[in-house]
Amino acid sequence: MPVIHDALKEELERLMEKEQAYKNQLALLPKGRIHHKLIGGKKYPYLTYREGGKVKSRYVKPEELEHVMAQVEQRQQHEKALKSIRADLRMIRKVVKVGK
Amino acid sequence: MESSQKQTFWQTIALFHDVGVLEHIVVVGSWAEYLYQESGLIPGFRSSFRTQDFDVLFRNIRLPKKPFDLAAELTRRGYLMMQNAHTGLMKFDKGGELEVEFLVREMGKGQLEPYRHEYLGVTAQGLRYIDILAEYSTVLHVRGYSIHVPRPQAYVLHKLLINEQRSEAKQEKDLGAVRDLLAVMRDIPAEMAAVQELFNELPKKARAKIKNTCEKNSINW
Repeated sequence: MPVIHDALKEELERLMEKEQAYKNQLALLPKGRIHHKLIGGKKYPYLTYREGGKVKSRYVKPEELEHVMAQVEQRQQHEKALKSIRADLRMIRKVVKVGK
Repeated sequence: MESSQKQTFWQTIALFHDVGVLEHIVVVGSWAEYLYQESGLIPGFRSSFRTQDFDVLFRNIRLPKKPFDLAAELTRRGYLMMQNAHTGLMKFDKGGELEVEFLVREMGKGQLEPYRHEYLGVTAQGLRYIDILAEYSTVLHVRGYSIHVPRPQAYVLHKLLINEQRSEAKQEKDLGAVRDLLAVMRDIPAEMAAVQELFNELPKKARAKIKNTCEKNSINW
């Protein structure tokens, strides 16, 4: 049993490190989604996001669009990863606690 | 349906293939066991345990020579680069389920900091004795990819060789893998003869370490 406990503790530390790395990266990526607004018959890209309970949007210049879209997609992937890491963390914390 | 982790593994293999890196690396660690199973290299073998670590060994840290920013490409494809602030060692996590780490054989006296791949812009951890895995490797053809893996004999002997320097938890996991592989290989006389042959080729010090691990853990071949 001590071997399993040590392995879980090792995994716990690793996941915590990973959680922090994802949180750090997410802080650098833009929140929200790209939406297009129809203005005067033309479509304009906007980054729409929530801040303090309010929905806000910011115009995205055409030359920035590809980069911002890639960042938004990356954020979604990282958020999904963080969710999975946190689920693993919850499970391992429970087991480590029970095993004490 | 294939697990998401396996899908991520194959996406990573595809990426290495696309950028011309696959032929220069050896898949080591528990994912090599998965490839033994997938390729049918050892009939009847089923890998029992796979970790999140996808260990990638550079056969030669100076190859490929074509400059390519692999770190940037991995990041562009959704891998999160985690770099140790003190040592500079890079790891790339995908989806919280697969962690790619690059390895290389420790050279000379060794060094505390990782080795930087001159042309790919990634860092690799130097490990002693890992050259046995690259030196005694074979190519498996799985899902249209030609993938270098250690020959199972080298894989088993390497696990026994490094056992003492691993954490207690990893020692147990490694010994489990060794027992699983040997259990199947024992039925194939040629495989066992190859284990003995490779063992005989190793330096005296390495052979003594392996013998010691086997004796301590009642492993016979």
